[in-house]
Amino acid sequence: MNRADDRAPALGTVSPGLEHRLHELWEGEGGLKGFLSTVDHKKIGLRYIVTAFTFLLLGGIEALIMRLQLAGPNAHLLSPEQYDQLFSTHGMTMIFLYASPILSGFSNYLWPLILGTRDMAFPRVNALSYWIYLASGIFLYVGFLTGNGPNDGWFNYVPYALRDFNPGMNQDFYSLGMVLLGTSTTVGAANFIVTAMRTRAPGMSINRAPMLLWGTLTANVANLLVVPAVSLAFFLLWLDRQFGTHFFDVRAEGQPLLWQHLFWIFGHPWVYAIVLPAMAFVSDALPVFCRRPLVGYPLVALSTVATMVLGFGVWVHHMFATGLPALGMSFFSAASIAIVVPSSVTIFSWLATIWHGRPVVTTAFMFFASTIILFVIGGVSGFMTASVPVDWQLTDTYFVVAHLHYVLIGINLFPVLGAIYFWFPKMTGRLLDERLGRWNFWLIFIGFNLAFLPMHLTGLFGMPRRVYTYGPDMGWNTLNLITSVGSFVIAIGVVLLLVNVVKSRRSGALAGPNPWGAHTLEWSIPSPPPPYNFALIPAVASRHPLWEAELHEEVRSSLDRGLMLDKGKETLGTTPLDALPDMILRMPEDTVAPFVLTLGLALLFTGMILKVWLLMLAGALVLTASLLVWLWPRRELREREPAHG
Amino acid sequence: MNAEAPLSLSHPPAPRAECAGRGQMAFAIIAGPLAWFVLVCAGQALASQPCFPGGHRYPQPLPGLHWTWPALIALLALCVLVAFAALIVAWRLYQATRTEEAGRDSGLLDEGVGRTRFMALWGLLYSAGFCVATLFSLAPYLALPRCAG
Repeated sequence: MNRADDRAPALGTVSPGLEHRLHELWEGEGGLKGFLSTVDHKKIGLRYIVTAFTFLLLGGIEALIMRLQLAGPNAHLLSPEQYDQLFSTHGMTMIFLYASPILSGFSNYLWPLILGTRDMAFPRVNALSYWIYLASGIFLYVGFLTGNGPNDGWFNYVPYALRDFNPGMNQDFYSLGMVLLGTSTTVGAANFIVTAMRTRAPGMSINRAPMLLWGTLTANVANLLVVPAVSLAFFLLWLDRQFGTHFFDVRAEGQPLLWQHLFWIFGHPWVYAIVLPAMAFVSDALPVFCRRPLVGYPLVALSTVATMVLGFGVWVHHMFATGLPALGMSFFSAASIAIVVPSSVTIFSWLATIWHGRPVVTTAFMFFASTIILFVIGGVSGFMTASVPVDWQLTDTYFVVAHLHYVLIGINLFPVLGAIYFWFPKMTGRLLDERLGRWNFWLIFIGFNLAFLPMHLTGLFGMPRRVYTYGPDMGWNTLNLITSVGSFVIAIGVVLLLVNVVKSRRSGALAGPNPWGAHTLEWSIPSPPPPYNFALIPAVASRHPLWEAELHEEVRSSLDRGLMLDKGKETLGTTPLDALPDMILRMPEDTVAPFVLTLGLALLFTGMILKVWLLMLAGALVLTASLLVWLWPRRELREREPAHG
Repeated sequence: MNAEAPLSLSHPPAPRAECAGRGQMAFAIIAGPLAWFVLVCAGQALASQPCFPGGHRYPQPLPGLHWTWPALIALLALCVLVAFAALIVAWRLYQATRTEEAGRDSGLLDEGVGRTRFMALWGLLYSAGFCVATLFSLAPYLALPRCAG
């Protein structure tokens, strides 16, 4: 993103000539080079979604194997060591490689479309973020497939993670992989924040922005603040293991609790980071099917941010059983209970929107509406564990496993599945099959509740987490069998979704630009969108640019007449609060630099894990060279002055 | 580009923007949550250190660290005051901007029209909410023995 020049952009209307010019400017190359060099947010967004969904499938397969092991007592499908790696890798995969990246994928694809602009603020950084995410996923899975997956839970507590107790390469793969992934998350977060602040369509002031902006923006501000904590924790752990430092080693006056503090200062805000954008899917899409605006929009936006603010002050509730002083814990207990307030505001807003609307029951609607039920169940069990004495009873039991799955599946996966049904037509131009969709929904909904509702009881009956098997006389046999059956029902539902996607991609009904009669800007352009998104930069006058006539609003957004910006690969820069036109931004061309930089990073980290100094040096050289190429000032972008006037 | 731009917005989002200084608005929105967060972090440290320094537990606060208790109460009072000051600023901003768009206050809660009063409303609710939350932190100080746990 660079300031292009000081000229005044021309106003105009759409014409075939304009569309042709823009197509020429924005269409990327094909073939392998085009694949590796694209910076188009739509392609990057789709790659994020496909990659994250692949990790969801891998994590799901891991879960199914664990459920086979736990379906009955004294099973021997897995050894204790294999089980340790499997549940740790399952957690790592679902939380780090699926739950957050899938939301980045949707936001990458959708943000420029809902904000009325032509790309993210830093398209090359966007590509870099994806490539590093992919590299870290491959890095972590190479560890797992070579028997060196994480084996100490996704939270990876010391001292078990230290070298004395964990001498293999498992923790080294996990530590370095997480540092690598942290780089991706951090650069991605910076990109989202600048995009939100500087590239909204003129007139889209913060009170007219779709909820997806609030959800993703809040999550990414949090990521920028907390990801460094966990990257640091993993780096210190790697130093302890490889260089004999003693950050966490209690025998040398290190602090094991330092790990937990650093991890959960990151970990709990991260939980909100992986649900707030998904909740925003519901807040934006549910009203479309209710045929009325979201009830209490300002309060829902405010609650989104308030949830995250409170989320910064609750991390110690993961540490209630570590022997911290009661007075200190009381602050965090109170904050963990208080977080119910903003969450409830959102829930009641959704309920009121359905109540006052005229709901059209589609598959997407069912996924969004069921989120409300699952959110309440997950919220109530979370409220219970926010109380210190209750937490002491429930911690490390299956009750907590049930709670976290209601939160993460209920408020992440269900909204994501709804979002797939809702935005698939925009991405592909075709609607998903509704009949298959109903089967898909009911199988996943019933399977999920069959699997995880009884799990609360399993925990209350005393079954601890992370055990690879159990005796036949513990009273847990039937409940575990029901959970295992439920997990396979979910799997059938997910397979049906894949069938639906493949079938509908090929022969689904044509969607047109706005199949749902929705109100936000992405539905004003063709499906799938052209490479330049908007031929004219729209000017927004309300929160519902496409519903202004229906809602009898006095104002009208300008969608047919707007800024053409066809003198180069350009978009409009606007002011942070009111989105007033500010400058013309020159957007970068495609480049392989982010991909090559990622190769350099991957080489560097491979050298670090194998302790091959030559490989590290080669990686550092590739990394430096690609940075130089990327950042070298160019005259055409006005990054340096011409030599002669 | 500003001076020459041909695009003028038909419906400016913040016609009363001049009524609210950016510094005031930032204070109204941020001060309450920040005060609460400072109390949570510093409060935990001040409450824990006299009884649980390092890996040892003591039934009574260590000699020489008795100052932490009045410091904690003073910090709490300061944080409540800051949040309350933010509430007053937010209330004034809201009063100055509540007529930014035609319509009743309920219209603001439902639709959020008028960017300046939208932000003033946020300041009002945040500062009030976090003022109460900070004040409630007094309860455990009074109810719990200092070195319990």
